[in-house]
Amino acid sequence: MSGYFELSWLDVAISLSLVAVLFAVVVVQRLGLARGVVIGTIRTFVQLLVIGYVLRFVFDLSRWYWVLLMLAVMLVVASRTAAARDESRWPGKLQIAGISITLGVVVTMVSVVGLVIRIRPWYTPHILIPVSGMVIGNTMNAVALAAGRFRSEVAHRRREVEAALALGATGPQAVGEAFRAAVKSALVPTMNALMVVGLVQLPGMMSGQIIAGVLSVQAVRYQIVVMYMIACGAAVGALTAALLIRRQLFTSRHQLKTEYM
Amino acid sequence: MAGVKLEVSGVSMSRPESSAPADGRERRVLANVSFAVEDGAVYGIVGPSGSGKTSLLRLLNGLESPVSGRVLLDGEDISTLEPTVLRRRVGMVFQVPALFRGSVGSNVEYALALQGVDAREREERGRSCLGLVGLPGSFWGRTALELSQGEQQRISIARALASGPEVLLMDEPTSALDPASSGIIVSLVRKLNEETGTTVVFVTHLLEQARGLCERALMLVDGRAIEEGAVEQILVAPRTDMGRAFVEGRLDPHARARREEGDYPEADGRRASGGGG
Repeated sequence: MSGYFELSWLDVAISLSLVAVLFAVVVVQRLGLARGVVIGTIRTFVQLLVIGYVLRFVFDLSRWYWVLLMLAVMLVVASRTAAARDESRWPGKLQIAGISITLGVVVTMVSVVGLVIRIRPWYTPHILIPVSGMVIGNTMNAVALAAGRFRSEVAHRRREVEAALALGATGPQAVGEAFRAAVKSALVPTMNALMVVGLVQLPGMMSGQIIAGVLSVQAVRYQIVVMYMIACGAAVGALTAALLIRRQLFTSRHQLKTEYM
Repeated sequence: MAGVKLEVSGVSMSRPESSAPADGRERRVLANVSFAVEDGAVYGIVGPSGSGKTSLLRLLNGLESPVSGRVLLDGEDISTLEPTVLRRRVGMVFQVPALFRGSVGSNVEYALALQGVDAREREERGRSCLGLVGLPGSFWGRTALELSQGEQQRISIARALASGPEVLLMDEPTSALDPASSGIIVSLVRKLNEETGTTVVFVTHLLEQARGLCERALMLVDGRAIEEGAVEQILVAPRTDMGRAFVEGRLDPHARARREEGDYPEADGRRASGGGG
């Protein structure tokens, strides 16, 4: 038997008591996060409510330009979030995040829509938007991790990098180890997700269907494809970010730019 | 007689203000510095900390570039040379050893591996460099970062020697070492210079070290070359007031900052005199 248990606004209001627990911890322990808790609680509510209406609007219209606009907004927000997590003083953080995430997502989505989920029309919103969203979110995390790790690794190993340059290494050779460490650290969460998916946490796409009482073989197949997609997006995004940052670290004469470290 | 190996003419250099690199404000690090180093010499660069010694050294192997002026290696402008080739010809030893993780051997043969030298020849040449710095062959397989600072610095010298540089730049290589290790490094530099004929440019703030090692030297204060000549002359009988102040240990390190803030009456023509001393 399967039943769909409806939630009323009253139920949602009662769930606020859960956030009250968080709020209490933050205040009693004086973590300085009280403001963040309040804002976060409100943002969750407003953002999901608004996005619900926006999605319904986009689904109903089913026009390619509304779908693309929606994806563009998602990419911009993801890029800004990834750039904001990078606390270094380097310029161009937003551009690097934007290019890396967009490339990772576009490469993944184009191949999937072209070869796997051959949706027609290609912009079918109720497939393209949620699937892209998952790929964007995961690629964003990978890009932020790659950028943060690469920059901090080079800053910490600045002396070794310059020693390598002084021995006749090119810029890319001198940061080879830091480069690999950055890409690797960006991909570890995705690898872990591939390992434990379904065993610990049921992925969002399947959870939604389970709760709605319509879990199907289709949902499982979709979820498998989505897992492979997020892996591809993370790999392309992290590698692109690391390549762009590596270019930025050196002058054309293989000199490490130290002014932003 | 030996010709000129390195010629530095009128180099100036600025760096972005480190607090806000994006706003374009720059700090003058070197002002119109000129000097020449004879082939096979050990040349000293002395001066107080923050005077631009390290920056000057970094120009000589192209780790940084001057805003004006030129550096000539055997008469050739180094800005026309491929940077990786230049740095094989002009090696560098830093204040701290900055060894790579891994074995002593992998450090020493790093430069040769970059050039694609095959493994057997790498080890052969690497081991002979280890011998040049007076370390036994048993060090080859040891973990580099577990050795003492003095041993690490010797390995960093061996690492710099592996590609057979014509010039070795040394940036206060003993300042992080105890006196015994310092002594070893200094005599090592002397021996290397005598045995291999490698030209050495040696940066130090220790006047005794400069006197013991170098025949000629340059004195930098506030990025200006205020004295240049025979080391005995510039360290014993400096020609300028500032040179005397440095040698006698009474140079005020904050004088420039106060001058730039404008509440320090300019006593003489130092500001305008530029390089050359």
